[in-house]
Amino acid sequence: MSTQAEIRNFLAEILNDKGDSSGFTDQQLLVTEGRLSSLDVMTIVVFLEEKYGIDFSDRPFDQNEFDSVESITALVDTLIN
Amino acid sequence: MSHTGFRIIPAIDQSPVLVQLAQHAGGKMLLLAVFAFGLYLHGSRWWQELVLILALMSIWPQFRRPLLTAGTLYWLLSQHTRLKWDVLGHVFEVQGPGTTTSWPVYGLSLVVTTILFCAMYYYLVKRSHGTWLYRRPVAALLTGYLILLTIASYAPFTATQQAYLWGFLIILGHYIWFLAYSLQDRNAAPGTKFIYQLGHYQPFWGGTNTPFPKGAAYLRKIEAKNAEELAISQLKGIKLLYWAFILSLVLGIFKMVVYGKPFYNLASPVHLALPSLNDALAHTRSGEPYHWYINWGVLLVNFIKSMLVLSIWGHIIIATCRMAGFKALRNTRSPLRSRTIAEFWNRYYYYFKELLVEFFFYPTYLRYFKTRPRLRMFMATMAAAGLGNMLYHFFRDIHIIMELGIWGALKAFQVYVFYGLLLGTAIGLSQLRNQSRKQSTHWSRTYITAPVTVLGFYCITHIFGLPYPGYGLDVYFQFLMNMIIIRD
Repeated sequence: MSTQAEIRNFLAEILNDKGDSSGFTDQQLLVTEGRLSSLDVMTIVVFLEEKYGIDFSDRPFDQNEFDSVESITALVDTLIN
Repeated sequence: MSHTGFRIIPAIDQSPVLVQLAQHAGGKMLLLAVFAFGLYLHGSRWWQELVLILALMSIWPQFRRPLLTAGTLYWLLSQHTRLKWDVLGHVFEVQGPGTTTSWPVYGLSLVVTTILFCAMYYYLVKRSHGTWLYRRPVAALLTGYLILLTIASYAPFTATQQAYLWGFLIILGHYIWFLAYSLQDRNAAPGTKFIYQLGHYQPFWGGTNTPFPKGAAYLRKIEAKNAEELAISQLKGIKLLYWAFILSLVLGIFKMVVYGKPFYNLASPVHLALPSLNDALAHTRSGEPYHWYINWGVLLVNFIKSMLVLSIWGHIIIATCRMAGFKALRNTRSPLRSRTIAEFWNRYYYYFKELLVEFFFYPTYLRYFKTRPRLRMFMATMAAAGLGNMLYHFFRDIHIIMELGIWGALKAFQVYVFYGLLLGTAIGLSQLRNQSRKQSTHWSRTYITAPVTVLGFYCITHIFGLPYPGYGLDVYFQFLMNMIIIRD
């Protein structure tokens, strides 16, 4: 499964847990729209730490990078490569 | 128009006809007129100026940013509540250089100095790749500010020097969280030049030291990108403004019934004649507390009033922001629906919570206790709702630091420190509880146990978070004790 698909599935899981099953596109800004909270962003951080071994502690953190499937994928690609 | 049940304010933003209409000149005029009337109903003293700026932004959305900056500048100079002009004026008169320079020169020199400082600090951070300053610019800024407050409190400066230093700290303190957002946005793509970021430093739609709604990067994301998005944003703004008006009617009637305060020249024949919370605390302090049931009434009424006041205030700001073409989320969103202590915190004062999350929760969560998930979550929450919350209010109430010195202010701040610790602990535990198990969906929990627990917690503890009235912690505890001690 591609990184983008894994991230999409994970976000869908978070939204489902919150009772939000209205679907989303890869470009949709889920934090900005209020569908994902700051706590959900931290859940995503933990997922990326565990799944891809990314360490966020030594770089400036920007919540905007966690807003959509596309932006998270881009972030992961940048940090892994 | 889609109908999902009865709505007091119709979902006008979902009507294709209205959305279409709002994209044409006539429709725009109509929206502005309806919005202007809403502001007038709210008793806004500045409704003509606000509507003029909004009209210009509606007609020329391509110039939204320069107009935002112009509007913000106009507001800064015309409103006395901005920048704590009154506090600065006091410093100027009492302490300061009143004999050697004029008030405009004093005020202007401080504003220019602060802008220069913000710009220099911003560019210094931007060019410090690989350094601690680059990684932790907000922590460095807050630490530096605290050091300057200490110096201003105790260094043997002349009165004039002190007036300038305090003046600078007052203005910087007012904008410190705006600068923090600028620093956070420094790498966002596409960036916003610092000069344009200044236009977002307490925009003309209002707010406090808390940026509404956050920084330049966020505004860029929520900005209407085309005529249809602008129309929907403006219709949502109108909806919110009129919802706020309904809440203000509720508040007016509530005050009439509780305090006997006339509402639109109407007086209630009977009212509860409850004292204010400050009055009840003063009575407690003087050793003549009110009866237990009065204290309960005071507490409950003050909590309801606080929720209504915050909702109305935040709705008017966000409504104006939406009219300007920014699709911002509400500041207060149905707090009574909260089922956990953490959820209430998110629903009650969203942009303040976001500020604490961005500058305290995230940095702690990402750097510390990574091998201990539960402790990690708890400490990050404590850093935000506890430490960040305390620091924010400590800096905000700079007039108390000026009056008592930093140590005296810290002592006077004991009530808020207690509140911060209590809130941090409660929200932290609530977060852990939410993580560890699925909540029951039984109706009794949804509609009785959870709301009563959550609202009860905030109702009782909110008194510790009120603006500083000069009482010690003992008075608050005595007040609460008097609620459970039943006397004749």
